[in-house]
Amino acid sequence: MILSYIRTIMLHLVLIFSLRLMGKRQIGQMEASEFAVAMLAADLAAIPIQDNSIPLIAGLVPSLTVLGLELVFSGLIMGSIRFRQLLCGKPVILIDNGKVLQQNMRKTRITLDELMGLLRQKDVLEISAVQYAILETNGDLSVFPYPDEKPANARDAGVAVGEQYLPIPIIEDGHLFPENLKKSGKNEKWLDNHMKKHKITPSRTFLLTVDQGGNVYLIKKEDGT
Amino acid sequence: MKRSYFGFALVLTLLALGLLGSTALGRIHTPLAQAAAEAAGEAEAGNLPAARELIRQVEVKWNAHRVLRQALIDHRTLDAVDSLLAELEAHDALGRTGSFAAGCRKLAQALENVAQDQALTWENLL
Repeated sequence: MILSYIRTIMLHLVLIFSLRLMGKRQIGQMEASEFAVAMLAADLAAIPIQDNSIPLIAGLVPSLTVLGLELVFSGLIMGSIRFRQLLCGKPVILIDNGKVLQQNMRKTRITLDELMGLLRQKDVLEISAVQYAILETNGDLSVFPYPDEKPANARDAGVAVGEQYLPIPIIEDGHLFPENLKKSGKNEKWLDNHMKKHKITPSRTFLLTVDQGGNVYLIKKEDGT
Repeated sequence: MKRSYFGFALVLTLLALGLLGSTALGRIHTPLAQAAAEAAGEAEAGNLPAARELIRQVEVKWNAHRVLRQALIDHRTLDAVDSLLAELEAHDALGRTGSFAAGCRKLAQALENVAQDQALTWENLL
């Protein structure tokens, strides 16, 4: 049992390292090949966990090979449009200027029910409200309603809005990030003053963010946490 | 792009290590299989001391590369060879010449299996 335990830890670390190297993508954003790679690597790594007679290398080598190939392919995808199209396919237009392209739907094996379902997931009730709908290479449907069907934004309403800034987390769950404090243009003296003002310490702060506009957002930790 | 170079290097390294491992296993265990087959021949011809000496040499060389083997080959295959070596010792101690000779043949086949376990052949790939 101890063998299974140690092997599991080792292979888990290798898997994390592999997925980390593959880059930051959520499952829903992965291309088909990336998803297949992630599943395959996990399955292959599990082989020596299930049977202690199988050498550890029988799980490591296939997982690392799959990782290596994925890294090579992703480089080729970046460098070659042809290779990208071969591996990832091309986006397919399903609705073009309001017209449902039935041939493209047949080509992509998307039924009308599926299309309606995908539109509903994008908060679109009527197919007639959609000007363009494009099936992306990762299976996601990009939907562009007609301009007069879209919710109005500030520009449409002629409303002047303020600048938007990216908040920088200074403290997260009681942990201070000195490099972020510096990045935000603040210093320890400012932080001390702010903490005193709110009668709190960094360790009791759940979240503290600052942005370039000088906006500060603070959440205190709840009692008992 | 750096990641793809790393990926390329990783794939090539794994390929090289795989070929090295496969070659090493063949080089180490094919002579052992041949020695065991020779021992079987000697035992069948009644020349037990020669057979015994060959098996002793096989055992010494078998124990010399244990770590490499355990890293690359299914342990059940290796355990089978260990069992056969123990069996041969028992047959020899009890003076069972026929069983000793048969055991040497089995050992030769088992060692050949070890030598071929990681060999790059169509049979293994398929």
